[in-house]
Amino acid sequence: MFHLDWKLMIAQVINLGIVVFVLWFIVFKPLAKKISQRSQEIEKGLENAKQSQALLDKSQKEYLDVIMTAREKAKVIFDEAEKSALKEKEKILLIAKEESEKISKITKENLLDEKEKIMKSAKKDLADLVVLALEKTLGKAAKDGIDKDLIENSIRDIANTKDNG
Amino acid sequence: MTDISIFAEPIFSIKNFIVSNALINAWIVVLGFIVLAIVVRLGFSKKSSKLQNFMEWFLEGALSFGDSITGDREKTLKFAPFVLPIFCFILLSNWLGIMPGVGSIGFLAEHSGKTTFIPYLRSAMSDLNMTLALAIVAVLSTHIAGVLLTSPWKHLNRFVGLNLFLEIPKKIKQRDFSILIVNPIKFFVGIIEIAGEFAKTASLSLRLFGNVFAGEVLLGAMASMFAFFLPVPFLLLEVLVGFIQAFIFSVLILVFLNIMSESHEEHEEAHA
Repeated sequence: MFHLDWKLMIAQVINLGIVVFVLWFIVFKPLAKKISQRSQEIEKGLENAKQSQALLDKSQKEYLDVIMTAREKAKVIFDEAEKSALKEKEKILLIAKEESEKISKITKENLLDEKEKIMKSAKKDLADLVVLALEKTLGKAAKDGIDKDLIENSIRDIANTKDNG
Repeated sequence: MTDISIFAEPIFSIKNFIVSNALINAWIVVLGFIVLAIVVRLGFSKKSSKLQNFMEWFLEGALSFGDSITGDREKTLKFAPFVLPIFCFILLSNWLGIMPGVGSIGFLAEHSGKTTFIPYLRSAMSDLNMTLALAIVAVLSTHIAGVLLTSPWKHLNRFVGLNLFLEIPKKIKQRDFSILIVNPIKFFVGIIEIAGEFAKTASLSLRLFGNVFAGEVLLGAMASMFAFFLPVPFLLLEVLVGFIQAFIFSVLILVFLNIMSESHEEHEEAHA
């Protein structure tokens, strides 16, 4: 009924074999290889991108760490500088104070010396004035020994009077 | 209405070998694939052409679909060299069968005192010789895959079940007497599976043949009723049927190959 013919069947199997060979080995196999290569390249690209991203993240983290460390170091340096400046200020102030005290002391001493000198000179001048006044009053020159004692006593009296007054 | 013969008509013969119109159609399909292969292969050296892009898209889609059945790209690539060309071969044969001129251009011949119209070309899949040859090759290939991918012993036991008898004494020693009932049943199930292999061959070949032949008859009937416009929807239907039949045939082969590539125990576990 269906006219089955084994020769025809074999011929059709041969046809199928040719199609399988032609399509798979000439067309699909190289294409499959190409697709596989492309997939591998894409996967490799993705992997590289992932690695690059990881590297970038790491670099950013390192950069932030470096910045943080630098900031911390700068803060420490700044604090130290501030402390050091304060110390230096105190030191300078102390030295200045000492200098000023020294200068003040020297000035005081100088003043006292000067005062003493002036006082001595004034005393002398006063004594001379008194002698001169006495000479003028008495009309003769006082004898050195007696006059001198007299002058000194007079000056002492004047001084005492001045102090009491 | 022209008579459409259920078998492919002989056109000429080379010595004892009769060349049928379905065989000529199959040769045209083969030639078409050879030309396509040359064109695609020549295009490989150049930048991706549209045809190459289409072929890549088709192959990638087919492999992805195959993965959904086999569950493994490696396995799909093992079966694809056989299944994919079968799909293409059936598809192109079916679509070539509805081309203008196929089944309508022929000659009149005297046969048993009756003048009959014999077309020069007839869809290759509307000849049972073709579909049966395809089905036999497909089923045989599933057994070859079973032997190569599992082992000859495991594949034999899938049908004959010699291991079922060998494990009976061991189980009896373990006082598992249910084996005396279960394993003989399993043995007979294996025997039924042998019959199933013949049923597979018959169903694969007759389904494809029946659908394509019915399509040809339908188109012939419509064309003889009104040659213009009326056959158009049926032609479109045949385009769809041609694709579906090629798809069903190749998917079934892929499923059979996948089943045979797993050992019987694995297969049962997968279905449990």
